[in-house]
Amino acid sequence: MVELRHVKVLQQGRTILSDINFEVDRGEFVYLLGPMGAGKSTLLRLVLFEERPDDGVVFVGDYDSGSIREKDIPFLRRRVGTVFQDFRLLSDRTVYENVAFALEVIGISGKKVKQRTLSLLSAMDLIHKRDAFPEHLSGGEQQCVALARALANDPFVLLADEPTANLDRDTADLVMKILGDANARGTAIIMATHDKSLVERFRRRTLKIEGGRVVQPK
Amino acid sequence: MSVVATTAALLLLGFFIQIVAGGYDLSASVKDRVEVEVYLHDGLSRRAALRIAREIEEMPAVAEARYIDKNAAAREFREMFGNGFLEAVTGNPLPASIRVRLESEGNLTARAREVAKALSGRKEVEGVDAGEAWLEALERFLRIASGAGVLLGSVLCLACGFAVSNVTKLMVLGQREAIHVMRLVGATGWYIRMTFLAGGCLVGCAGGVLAGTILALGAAWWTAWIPEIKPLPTGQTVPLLVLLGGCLGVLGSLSSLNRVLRAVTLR
Repeated sequence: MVELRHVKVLQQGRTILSDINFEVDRGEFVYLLGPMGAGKSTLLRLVLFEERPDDGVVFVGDYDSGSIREKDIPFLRRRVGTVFQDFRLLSDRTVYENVAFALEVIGISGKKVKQRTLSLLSAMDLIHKRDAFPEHLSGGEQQCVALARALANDPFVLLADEPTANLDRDTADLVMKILGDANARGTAIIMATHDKSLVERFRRRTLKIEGGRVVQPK
Repeated sequence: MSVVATTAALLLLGFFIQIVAGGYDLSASVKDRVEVEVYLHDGLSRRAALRIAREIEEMPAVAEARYIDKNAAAREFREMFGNGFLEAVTGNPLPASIRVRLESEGNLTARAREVAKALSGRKEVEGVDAGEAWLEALERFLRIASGAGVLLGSVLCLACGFAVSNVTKLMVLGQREAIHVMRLVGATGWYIRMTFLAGGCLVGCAGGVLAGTILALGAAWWTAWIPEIKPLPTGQTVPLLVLLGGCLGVLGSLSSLNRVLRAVTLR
């Protein structure tokens, strides 16, 4: 499903990632564990085709970095959910509108948008906050809205870049539960984190990234 | 804010368009009143004079030829200058004439000269007053005014376009968050562009409607100030400004969108 083969990334003459090799199969949950600056976020951007490798190939679903055309990338991203540590919600839209937005921009009809959005908010226990704006939500609630948006199109893989970094332990655990539920439904999860205690609490396959290299591939 | 700035720019442009349109109307009406006076010898019969007037009307570039007899000439003189002079002289010294109005298209000075030359040789004609010096001055003034109008209009259009473009650029930049999320969730480049082009067009059209409405409401005030300039009808002004505003809004969005799309990444 997701494979990186001898991937190398350079930025301004500096090696960010070097000879990265790993695979993530359907339904897998994989941590990318490493300190800040290790290259975790760059790796996730490669999977989104936001960046192209300077060497090697990235395979995501039916696409690969060598042959994917610019105009195909949006269609790939519809099947890849993404969440960030800073949530990246639209501050001028309500909770409902933030989630519905992900469905509207890809041309889903109004009725289906409503059905799907309400279903997702209900699953996140946020239905009562659907008319609230992000500034009126807690960090955990905002991340749940971001997760609902990321899962709106039923992605085959969800990329999570430090999703629990700004959250307290209990809220982080809630987010991990949501990710676990999505994974149980068949969505592969690739989660970048530097939080070793979280990885200990929620044990999954782990790839340690240090200095742009995978130290302990499993 | 975007609509207010666009309205202000289009209001200025709309006002200028009104002035230019009115100016063209004014110059056309002035040209319509250009006349060549053909003075007839005393003693020429009314019948002969009317015949000459008909012949003159057949000439190219002549719109109308009207016979003014000595009595009508005296009446006009009194209306302009009062009774004093004519009362002081014996009889009516004013000659009968044929007043020739020229077609307003083309070079009026040249046409007046042609008419004067054609008629000066006739035995019935005592003299021809074509007012060439005045006509030359008028045409020179109209050429300069027209050229200045085109130049100023072009500069104003560019300035207006620049203002609207900057407004739409700021609007697009202000939506970087939304563009970022659009790209994240898989919106195509075409969809993102269309969203903002539509937005730019809407802002431009809204500005056009407001500017046109303000101009229409203000017409009564500024026509009292400059009565010679008649405003364009609201039915023409508003659609023109809406169209102009819409086009400028789209062009403004286009000019900034590619740059912003390149700058907005998913980092």
